[in-house]
Order: sequence, then structure tokens, then C-alpha cells
Amino acid sequence: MFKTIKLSPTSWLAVAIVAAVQTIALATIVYGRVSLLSNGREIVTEVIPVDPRDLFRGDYVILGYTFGQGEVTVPKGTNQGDKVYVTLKETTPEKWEVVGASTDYAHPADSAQVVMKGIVSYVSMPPEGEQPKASVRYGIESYFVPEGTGRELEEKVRDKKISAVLAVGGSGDVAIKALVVDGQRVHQEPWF
Amino acid sequence: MWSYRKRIDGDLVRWRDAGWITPEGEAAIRRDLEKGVRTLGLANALAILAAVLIGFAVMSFVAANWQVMPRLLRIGMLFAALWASYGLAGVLARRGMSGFANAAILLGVGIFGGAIMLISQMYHMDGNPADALLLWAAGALLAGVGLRSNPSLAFAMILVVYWGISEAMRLDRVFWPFLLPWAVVSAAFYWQRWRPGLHLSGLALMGFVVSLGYRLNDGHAHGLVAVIGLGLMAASIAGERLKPELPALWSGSFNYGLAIALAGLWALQFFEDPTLDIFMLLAVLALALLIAAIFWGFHAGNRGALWIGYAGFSIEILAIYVKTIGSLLNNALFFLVAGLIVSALAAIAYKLHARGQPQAATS
Repeated sequence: MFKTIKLSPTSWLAVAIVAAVQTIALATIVYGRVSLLSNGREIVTEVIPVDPRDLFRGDYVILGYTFGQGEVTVPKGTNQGDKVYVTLKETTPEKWEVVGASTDYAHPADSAQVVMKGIVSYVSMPPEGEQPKASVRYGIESYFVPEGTGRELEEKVRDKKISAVLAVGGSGDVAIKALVVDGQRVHQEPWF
Repeated sequence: MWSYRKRIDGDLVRWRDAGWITPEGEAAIRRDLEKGVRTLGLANALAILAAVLIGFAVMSFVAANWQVMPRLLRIGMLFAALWASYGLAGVLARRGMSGFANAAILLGVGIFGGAIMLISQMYHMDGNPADALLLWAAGALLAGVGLRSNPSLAFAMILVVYWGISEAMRLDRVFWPFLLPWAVVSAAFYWQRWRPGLHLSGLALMGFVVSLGYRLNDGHAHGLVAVIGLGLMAASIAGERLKPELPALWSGSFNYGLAIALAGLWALQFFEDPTLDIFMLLAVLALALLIAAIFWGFHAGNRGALWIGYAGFSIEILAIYVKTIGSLLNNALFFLVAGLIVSALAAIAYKLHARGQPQAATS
């Protein structure tokens, strides 16, 4: 079969294959996100501003989560850059706390829990006999806003509580659906 | 390219005067050279730059019209731009404008990368940027192989290197998986028989080997780096004996081995801060290696080894001078001894050269 494809820009077949494969690769990313956003379990969590004086850097907002920063107990031998599955439990509305973390995906024990996939960004050395604690990034730490609206949103956000609406998929993938500022969802777009 | 033309200009005159080539032969060679220059000239360089600029323009346009356009329209525009670039490449290639076609292919690869970033932004994906880089590199490799585009392959190698560096920094350890895509892109360079690409591979691998010195054994594995470099040099010399039909491969690997060995020796001397005795021992070793490399460069006709040898020698001397500046007496003594040794070597080289000359003329 490969003999019939001439690898050259003069071959329309070769051109079409290159363009098609790249298009499919991009479409796969979009499809994955859209199905996660529409089928994933929706949870709302409070957001802690990483740097309250400079929340909006350029045109995206940096989001911090209580369950990400240095407090995730991870199995021994976990290294920076490793994939971990973190189980969270909603203790009070919009407050999610870490129940545990493991290197393999485990289904949430009950409906009050979710499991999110993350990457260990930093591991702190544990005291003797204790399990190491880590900072984990879930890929939901940036929220891009329309060009030039960052400042406006910044003023809205000042002194007000922000929450993030997340979609959690069956294998632990997470995506941001929207931000909630003062009880209102901002910048929520159709999935397409 | 330019230095080659200048050299062959002089050579052609000499060869014609010596009666080795006819005036018609000279004219034919010059015509052939002109043709090469015309297809690889300024126009193509500008076309590549234009591709880069247009790629940025497309990205900025789509990014700036953020959310004015619905997501579907933005994605559709990216796909249309992608297909248009590759289609344009096809049209240009069919008209025999291979340089412009390459620029259009590069534009397509650029739009593919931009699309990855814009889609991540559209869905607020803040994952590991390295994964996006690897996907982009895969797209560049696909275009490079499928459309036989060397610039696209070179870009794939640059992306792979960038990916490897960012992963090594993120994980804070040696990132061995780098070698896999490196090998794949290198194989593509070999398949294309594109020598500049293979040099790019050589440089990338050299950087990886040198980085091992700063990563393994708690960041003190420079001795290993020097040994790997010396081993590569020895293997190249042995290879040249066993398979002399591949001279470019052996001279190339010899030079990369030399550069790796030097990087290791320099790190041992100037990064590790050894005692003066050990420092001097290493310095003598490095100078001996460089002189041997210069000898080898002359012996094997390897210009690269000569240049690395000369440049390395100058840098080594300067670095020793800066390092030992406090103890001027030792300094003076060291340079005196080194100077005497090198003069003796020069005398030997001169004699060898004088003896070799008549033979070369008769053969």
C-alpha cells in the first residue's frame, strides 16, 4: 500500500494525508474536551487567588485550589512529574478536601467524592516515618478571558468570592466549565 | 555555501591552468553552480521568513478575535488555514518552486502548532506544555517525511530538543525518553540523506551527553562525559579503519566525540573546582588531547577536528590563564613549558610535512 503513496509535496495524496492526520489530531483534542465538558460530573469548588494583588496577568487568571498546594499526601517514592490520582471529598459546600492520593485510578467510594488526575509539581521531604506531601497541578490552573477584559474582571473579583465550575471525567480528567463570580457564571461559552 | 563558491572559483582557475579540465568543462561546472545558487538563494530564505510571519499573523488574528467568534468558527478557521498551507505547498511544488513549497510546508507546521496552543487556550487546558510540544514535533516529523521537507524535519528536531530540555528541567533528572524521538527524527534525516540535519542530530545528542555530567551522580559525572567523548573518538578511528567507505560519518563522529570530551574535561577543571595539582593534570590532558586532535585533523584531512582543536586550544589556554591568575610564577612556568612542547611539536610537524610533500606531488 505504501508503495502507491509517493512521498512528495507534488503528490496530492501525500499532501492530503499530512493535512488530514494533523486535522484529526487537533479534532481529537477538541472532541476529548467537549465530551469531558458535557459528560463529566459537574462540581463547584472555591478558588484561592494565588497572588491577590495581581490576579489577572495578561488575559488569563491564575487559579489556586485548596487541594493542590503542598498538602496532598502521596505514596512514598513519588517523584516530581509523576501522575497521581487524588480523591477529594466535599466537606462543606464548595470546599473540597483531599482524602488520599494513589498512583492508579480508583473509582470514588461514594457520591460525595471525586477522583482527579494530576501531576506532582513538587514533593517536600517528609519527617522520619511520615508520608511525603506534594503540590499537585490538575491542568485547571489557568482561565483565559477575552483580550482586554482581564482588568474589568479583576475589579469585579476584588473582595468577592470566586468559584470554579469543573467537569470531572470518568478517568480523572478535569476541565474548567466556567468561573462563578458573586454568584454569577462568567464567560461561559457553548462547548463548540 | 558562499565559502564553497569562493574556494571552487579559485580551484577552477588553477585546474584549468594545470590542464586538468577543459575550458568547456569549467564553463559547465560554473553553469551548474549558478543553477544551485539560484534555487537556494535569497528568495527562498525570504519565503521561509514570510512563512514564519504569516503564521504569527494567523495566530494573532485568531487569538485577538477571542470570543467574538464562536469556538466552532475559530476551529474551522484553523483547519482551513492548515489545509490551505499544505495545498499551497502542493501547487508550488508542482510548479517546480521547491524552496517556496518548503516555506509553505513550514507554514502549515507552524499553524498546526499554533492550533494546538489555541485549542488548549480555548478550553482552558493548563496541562503539561511538554505534551503539546511533542505533539507539535510529531506533526512536523509527519510533514517532513510525508512531503520530504528538510526544513520541517529540522524544525521537528528543534522541537524535540526543546521538549527534552523542558522535561529534564520539570522532572529535575535525566530525561532518557528524549532519545526515542531523537532517534526517529535522526533516522528521517538519514533517510533524506541530508547532512546538515545529521549535524543537528549530532549537536542535539552532544548536548544530551554533556548534560549527563550535570545530572548523574548528583551532578558530578563529568568524568563519565569525558570518557564517553574519548570512547567515541576511539570508535571513530577504529571505524575508519574497518569501514573506510564512510569517511564523513567517521570524521563527524570523531569531532562530536572531541567536543564531548572537551566539555567533560572543562567541567572537571572549571566547574568542579579541583585542587591545583589535579587542575594542572587535567589541563595538560586537555591540551594533549587538543594537540592530538589537530594532528589527527591534518593526518585524516578532517577540517572540523582542526578547527575544534585550534578553538579549544585557545579557550583552554585563556581559561587556564584566568583560573591561575593569582599565582603568576606558576602561570609563567606553565606557559613556558607548554610553549616549548608545542614548538617542538611544530618542528616535528614541519619535518613530517616536508617529507610528505614530495610524495603527495608525485602520487
